[in-house]
Amino acid sequence: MKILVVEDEKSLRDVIVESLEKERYVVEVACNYNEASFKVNDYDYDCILLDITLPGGSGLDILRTIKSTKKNEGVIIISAKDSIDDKVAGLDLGADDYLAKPFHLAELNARVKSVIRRKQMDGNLLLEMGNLTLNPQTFHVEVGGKPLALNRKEYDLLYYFISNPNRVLNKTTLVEAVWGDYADQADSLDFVYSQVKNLRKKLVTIGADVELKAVYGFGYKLVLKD
Amino acid sequence: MKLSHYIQKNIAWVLLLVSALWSMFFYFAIISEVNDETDDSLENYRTLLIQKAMKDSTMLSGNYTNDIMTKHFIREIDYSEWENYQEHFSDSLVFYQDELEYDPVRVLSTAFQYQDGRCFELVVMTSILEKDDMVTSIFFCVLILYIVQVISILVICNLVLRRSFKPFNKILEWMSRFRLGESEEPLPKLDLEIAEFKNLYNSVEEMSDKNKEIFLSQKQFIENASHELQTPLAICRNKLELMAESGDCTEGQMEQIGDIYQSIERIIRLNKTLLFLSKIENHQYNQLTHVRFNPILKKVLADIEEIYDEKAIEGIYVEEGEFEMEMDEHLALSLVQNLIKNAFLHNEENGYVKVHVATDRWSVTNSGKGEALNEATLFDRFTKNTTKNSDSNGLGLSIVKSIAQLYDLEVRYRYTEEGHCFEVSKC
Repeated sequence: MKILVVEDEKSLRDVIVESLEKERYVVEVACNYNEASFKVNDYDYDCILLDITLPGGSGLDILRTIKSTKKNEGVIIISAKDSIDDKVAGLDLGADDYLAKPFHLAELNARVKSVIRRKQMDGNLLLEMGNLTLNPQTFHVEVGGKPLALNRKEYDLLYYFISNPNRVLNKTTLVEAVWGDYADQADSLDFVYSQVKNLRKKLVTIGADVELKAVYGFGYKLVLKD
Repeated sequence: MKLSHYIQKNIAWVLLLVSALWSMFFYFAIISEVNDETDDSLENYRTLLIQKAMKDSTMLSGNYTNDIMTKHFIREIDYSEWENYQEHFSDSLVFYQDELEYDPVRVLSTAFQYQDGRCFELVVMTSILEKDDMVTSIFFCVLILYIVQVISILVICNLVLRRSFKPFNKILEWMSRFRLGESEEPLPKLDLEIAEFKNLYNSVEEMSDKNKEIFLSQKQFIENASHELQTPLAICRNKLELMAESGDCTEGQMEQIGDIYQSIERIIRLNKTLLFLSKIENHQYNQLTHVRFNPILKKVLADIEEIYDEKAIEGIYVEEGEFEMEMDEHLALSLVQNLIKNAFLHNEENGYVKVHVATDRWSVTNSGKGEALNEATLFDRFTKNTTKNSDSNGLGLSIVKSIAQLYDLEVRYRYTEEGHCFEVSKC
């Protein structure tokens, strides 16, 4: 899997690259408009992370180029401009997703994975880890062939964990992932705890060989059982 | 007190004083002039009488009344008396038979020596005008003058002030309508004759322009600052995420990373909210669509109830009518979310949140301990009415207020038996 990160801010570019490399992607970078245009024209990528405000030009123009060459590349816009207009313009031009800065790396991972999955025509849409499989289209979860019944919040949590296997997810990241806009209150941190507890119990009961591990003082991660 | 009344009051006082002084001066001037004239004529008369008496000795005995106005008496006196006699004027009263009253007279007493050496005293008197009557008539004349003056000043004041204050009132009206960032209609063009008003006009114009400028630049500043903060915040947070994942940290370090992470999280939210607020106030949400509030209210209530199900708060939805209006969908959602979220957040366990919708209003009521909140500061930024939620950023109700203002909605808070109630209604 090859991913191009178009971002002019070096530090941010570096963390994105580091995070994506952990997921075993091949990552290339472009730090300005010209470099990005050049790379987009000459190489093929599975997914492109595209900043809109770039030195030398607009990311939206690069998006136009990509779409005009009829390449089947997934494009996720990452922009500091969290405005509806930009979002609409980007998606209208054919971007697959839009992520406003600042974002969680876990969120980025989930989006990248989702875009790549959608682009793969052979269509292995299932997310798998151990004997756990999750179908994002039918919201169906199975453990070793047995269906696992989850409520919406538990499903959202599990989806997030399985999109970021083996990675520590902070409580606030989880809150935001599951409750979106409503989550900006500290109270909800306790709710994460109880939801994770429920999910963990269900996974154990059904005999999954993955487990949710608490990382003291920070959050949780989904790992394969030893 | 209106300016015209104020001017009138002061002028009336001054006029009263001036009129009183003037009438006194006028009275004494007239009296002295009249006395002067009378004395002159008495002296003439005396000369005539003495000349006449020198020729006609019969006049030397007895009193005479020459006509109604004048009288004279002649009396023989000693030589010694004559020698010391000082001619003098005096005022006196004489009883007039025909008028049956005492009238004031001017008296000239003098003495002369006849050819044969006999000495005589001559007293000549003439009736002069009555001072009492004079005082009364002067008083009434001045009074009438005073009243006429006051009335005419009143009329002139009213007419002139009303006319000349028209532009002033227009400026005043404009100022009272002027709201920074809201209604910024330009100052109406006025044809000003009066220099002071011209100055006022120019100053007001300059001041409002300057205020607008400052307001805009401040707004711009907040927006730019929030904007510029996004990337460094993103880097901080993402680096922390990587650090936490690296697995090199001890438990204690992880806990600290977690704390830093949450603090950054708060800054990020605060920043986002500030950006959102300034976008609302900059009218950047201007996609008007026909928004039906009922389904939004119902859905948000259900969603948030689910989030807070640990607290076992009951969501009650009462529909009496359809609340619909033209507004930006995103803002409508934000308005609803903020109010309902607040209702859940500031609630107690096993409490309730009641959403009530009618055609022209909807309200969110929540159970909750404590007394009524301070309505004056409730909608201000960063005001925290309850101390227990230190993690709420204090901007939720500011957003509500900004959105409401944008669409002429009225948001009212009241505390009833049912609890805290926020009501949104069409103006």
